[in-house]
Amino acid sequence: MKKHFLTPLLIPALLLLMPGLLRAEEITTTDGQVMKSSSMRRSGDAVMIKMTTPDGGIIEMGLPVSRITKVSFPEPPELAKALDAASSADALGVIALTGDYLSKNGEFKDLPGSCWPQMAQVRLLALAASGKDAEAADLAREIGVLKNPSLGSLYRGGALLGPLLSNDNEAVVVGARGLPSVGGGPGSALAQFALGRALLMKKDPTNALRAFLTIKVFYPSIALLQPASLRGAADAYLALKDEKHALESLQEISDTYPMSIQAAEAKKTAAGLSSP
Amino acid sequence: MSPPQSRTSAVNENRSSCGKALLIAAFMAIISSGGSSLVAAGDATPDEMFNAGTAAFQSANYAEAAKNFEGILKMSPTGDALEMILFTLGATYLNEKNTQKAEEFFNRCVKEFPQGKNRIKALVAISQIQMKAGRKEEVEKTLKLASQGGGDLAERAKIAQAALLDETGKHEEAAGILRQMISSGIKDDLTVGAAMSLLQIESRQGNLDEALKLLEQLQAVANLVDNPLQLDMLAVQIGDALLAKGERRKALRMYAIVRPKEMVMSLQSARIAALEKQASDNKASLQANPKAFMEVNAANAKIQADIAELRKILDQFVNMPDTLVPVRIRQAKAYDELDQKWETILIWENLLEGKDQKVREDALFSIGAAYVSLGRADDAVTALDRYLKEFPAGKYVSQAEYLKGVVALQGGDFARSESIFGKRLAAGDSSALAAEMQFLLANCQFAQAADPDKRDKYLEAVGNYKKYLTKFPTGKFAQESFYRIPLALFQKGDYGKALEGFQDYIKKYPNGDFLGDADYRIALCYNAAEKYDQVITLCNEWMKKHEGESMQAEVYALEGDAYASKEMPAESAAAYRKSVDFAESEELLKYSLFEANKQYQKINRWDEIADLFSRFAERHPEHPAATAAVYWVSKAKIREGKADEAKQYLAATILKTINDRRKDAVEQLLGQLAQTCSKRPRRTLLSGAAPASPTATNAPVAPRAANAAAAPGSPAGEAAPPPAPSPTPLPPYDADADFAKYLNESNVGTNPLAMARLRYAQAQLAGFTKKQEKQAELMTSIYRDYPADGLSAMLLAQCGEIALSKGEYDKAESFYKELMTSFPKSDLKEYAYFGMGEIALARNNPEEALRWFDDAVEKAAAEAKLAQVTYGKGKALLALGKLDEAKKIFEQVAGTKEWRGEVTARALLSLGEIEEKKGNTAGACQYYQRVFVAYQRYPELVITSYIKAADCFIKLNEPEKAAAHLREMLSKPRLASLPSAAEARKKLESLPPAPSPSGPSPTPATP
Repeated sequence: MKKHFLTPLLIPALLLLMPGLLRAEEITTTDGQVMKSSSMRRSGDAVMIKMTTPDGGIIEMGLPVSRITKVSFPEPPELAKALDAASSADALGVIALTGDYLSKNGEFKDLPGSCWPQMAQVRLLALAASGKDAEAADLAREIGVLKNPSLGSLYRGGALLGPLLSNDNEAVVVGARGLPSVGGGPGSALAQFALGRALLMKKDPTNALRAFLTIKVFYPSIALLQPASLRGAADAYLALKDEKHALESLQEISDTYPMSIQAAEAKKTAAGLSSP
Repeated sequence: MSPPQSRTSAVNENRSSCGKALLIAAFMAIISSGGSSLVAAGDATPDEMFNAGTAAFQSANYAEAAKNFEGILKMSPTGDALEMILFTLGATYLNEKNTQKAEEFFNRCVKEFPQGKNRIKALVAISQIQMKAGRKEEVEKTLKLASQGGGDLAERAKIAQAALLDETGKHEEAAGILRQMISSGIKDDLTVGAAMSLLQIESRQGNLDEALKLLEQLQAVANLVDNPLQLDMLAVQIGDALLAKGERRKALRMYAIVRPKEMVMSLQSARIAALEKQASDNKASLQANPKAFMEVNAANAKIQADIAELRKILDQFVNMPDTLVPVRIRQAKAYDELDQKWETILIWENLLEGKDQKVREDALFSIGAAYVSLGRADDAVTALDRYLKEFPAGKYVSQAEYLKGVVALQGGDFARSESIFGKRLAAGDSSALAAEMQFLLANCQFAQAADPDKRDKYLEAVGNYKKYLTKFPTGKFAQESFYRIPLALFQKGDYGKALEGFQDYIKKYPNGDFLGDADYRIALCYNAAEKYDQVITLCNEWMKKHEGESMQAEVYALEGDAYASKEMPAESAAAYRKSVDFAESEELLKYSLFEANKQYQKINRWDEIADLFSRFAERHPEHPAATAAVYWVSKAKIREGKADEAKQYLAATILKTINDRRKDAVEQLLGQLAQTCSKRPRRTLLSGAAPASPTATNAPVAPRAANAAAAPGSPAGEAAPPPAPSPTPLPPYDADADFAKYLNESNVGTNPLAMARLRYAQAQLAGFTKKQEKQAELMTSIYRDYPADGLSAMLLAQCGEIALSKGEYDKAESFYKELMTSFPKSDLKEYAYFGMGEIALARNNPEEALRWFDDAVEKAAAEAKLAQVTYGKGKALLALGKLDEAKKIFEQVAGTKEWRGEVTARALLSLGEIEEKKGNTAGACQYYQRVFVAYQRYPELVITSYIKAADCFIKLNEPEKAAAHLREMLSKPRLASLPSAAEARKKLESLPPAPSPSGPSPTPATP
């Protein structure tokens, strides 16, 4: 970036293109209107909002969801905590922090500006990382219902944990192919995670290892999935009779992700492998 | 969001139309909210003047517009109306490029209405005017004021303020503003913009760790980043900087962000499409709310500007070279340098998906080389063959062939490596690797000659070592080749020539690397010629010349062999003991230890045996023979009549490691102690030794002379033995009390594992003393009282089995999982896999069960549980309805002689079930009959088989035969007394009564 261009050009943009100001309870519609609401409730495809009239009265009006471009929901305090827990791969912490919010705020989950999808994403990763496949698949389906294009791959990746429950490994293999293995988002990482597990069950440790290592190599910032993937990689290494690398993976879990659900077990297994 | 500098260039072109839209929106606001406060003046009404001003503004006649708005101002509006008209005038003059007037009105707007609605807009406009006039310090102050407000515009002002601060060298201040903006996360286009600006500052300032964190945060919201290209480029830039600093791991995190070009293009196109849809939706919304056309137009103008900018970036990107390949290569190299070969392979495989042939050649060879480094022969050969097939004249051909040969050599496939090296050399390979290949070729032949059928390979090896010496006389393997020639002859059995060769070597290389080995081999040549005295002399000389060298233990063992051949057990034992003292290899330790033992036994030196083994066990507690050594110590002590000492020794050895769950030998030693304590100690077998405790046994002791006189073959042996009174009956032997003298609750301590192991030993003792109920009770108490995570592998396996047999699957699972987790290398892991399979079957999950049973064989090499595992696999297949596959498995179980027993009976029952499922009732009945005929030892299975056979006869409409079977079963008291016999009784009630004695004969009736 050539910084000297920045300032003079930016200011006119600010002046000329600024949208209406938003406050915490503000709702912006597709036609640029900004409405201040004292409370909101869901009614089918509309949101009923209460507004104060200029003369101080309170009226309730319905606004179709399709007309809303943004609602300035206040950020739930659990979100920052959950993201913090996620960064240290503390899946159980994330699960504890997100459940309540998601169940209580489901009615507005499809509104632009809702924190529900972000909270759901981090919970989905945590559920997958802690082996709660049934819950993860259910949540993925719930995310899928939102029909939000940016969450599409997350839904598809998370939904692959469902067939794992019924040992339908072939469905996982086929489903994972539908998402890019490299360059995608958390949905792709989830798909690789499910694929690795399916391939381990199919007794194909070489390809299972590839899937688990894809998460380590190409999605290192998704901390929540790292310990579970490293554990999968360790199992694949053991199946390939490569104890050295299995041990390294297990040590990486306990050293780098001590808060993870896998850490204690990894430490034990590593000790077992290290003993003569 | 695109970076401000790139987006605004496009936006600037649209400012005129957008500006109009905004102003019109402002006027509309006056009409709707403040219109009533306007004061009428002159001929024109405020409405007329306003409409005229609006029309003039729309036609870009800003002078006329200003005149009308000034007219309204002269009417002295107040409150919101005044605030709005001041702002509107400022905007009008700004568009007229009369910045002085514009600034004046904007300033009035800000000063007169510090809480006004348009305050921030006015401040931003002022900052723009100040910037154009080059009054940077004022700009900074104005933007600071603007950023103190609320809403998106204030946030955008903050980004602008930070940009200005950064430009004027106040990087930290700029970064501070941006950091505050993203403090509660990056979640929308504003925070993305702030993060991108901050990222650039951090990157420029060399704060790479901060930049790394930001990039990863941005990657997590990649769907909000409207310039993915820039994100990728920053990732490469920061990754390279980190790599230059040697921070490979961090660099790798950055490189991971870089996405395939097609994907970035697709993301960009998708974002453009989404914006186009948004614009279209906005337009459509006008049908429902036509009054909002000004807001919609303003919003769509912004969207169109964004679209234009995104298209521009996309077009630039399409024509740019792909950065992905060089980045991936950097990743592969970095992983390689970190010795993470699997990761290296993954990245090269990823690169194989591209079309660049040069990259493909590098990738294929690199994958092969990485597999070689990992020691994975099969994978390496597959990869290298693929390379050689695709690039038969490629730049790595010689290296690829060499690696293939090395891999085969390392994997013990000497014939294959010989063929590879031989072919390369025959083809005239003159690469830098030719000398090494020549030497390795000879080594391959040498190694193959160990096979008795290929002894001549030694001669081929000699030929190739000679070739090496001819072609590469000063090569790095010249000395070794020279030494390996007599070594090969020695191995071939040509000791004469070998001897000469070793002596030549010593002459040629008086300080050579293999001098000690050569002297040892010379002694071996004499040993082969059975010249044991010379061997002993040479061994002694060796000690003088090479004492402390690595072959010392071997030389002592050779000396021991020579003395043993000369029938000198004391000297031989002494030499072997020295060998034990110096030996490092497991094999030699074991050889010398047990050879010394043999020699000591010849001279009845049990005291030396006890000493030998006890020292060995102390020095080599991890050696596989350590447990056997403890056994021999105790045995030797018992042979010496020191039973109490033997038990004390066992207990002391046990107590040393009783708290260590990883010491598997503890349970073996506990079993040994329990067994030793289970029987009253016998009197010594050693001649002349005193009985263990004459007073305790109260047995009369014959004088040694009398014993000697009674010995067969002695002259006095012919005399009649002196009369001896009948021995006094011994008091009952209390094995438990005896055991408790050595191992008890007070000396094992309070560690749960030690206490559990004590109970295990007590259970073993109960087993040896035939108290099976007590044994079961003690074992159950271990499983009940002690947590899985503190138990040893043996106890976990046993507790798992107990829980499984009781149907407590969760508990059994916890033991088995702990066994697999904490003892991944244990031989007892097969118990865990088998148990998990059984649990899965019990939980009606046959597919999972099948996997566990397969794992038991593949991962744990099941041996002790192989029969049960195989049977379990059959059950799982049966549950899956795979009758034919299950049948094969059950037939295998029933047909394996070594497994004959309960599992055979169960397999036969299952075969019967399969026949029933197939509708072959008669065939099924035959299987059931085989069980009660041949496996009476398993009453429960016998009862089941009788009942099932009876059911078959009922199905076959032969109720008499069914009844006869059941009656026969109930006629056997052992079976009739079992609770499961009740079913047979009940069934019999509905069957025909017993016939007269001449009626149908029971078992086994043929259906």
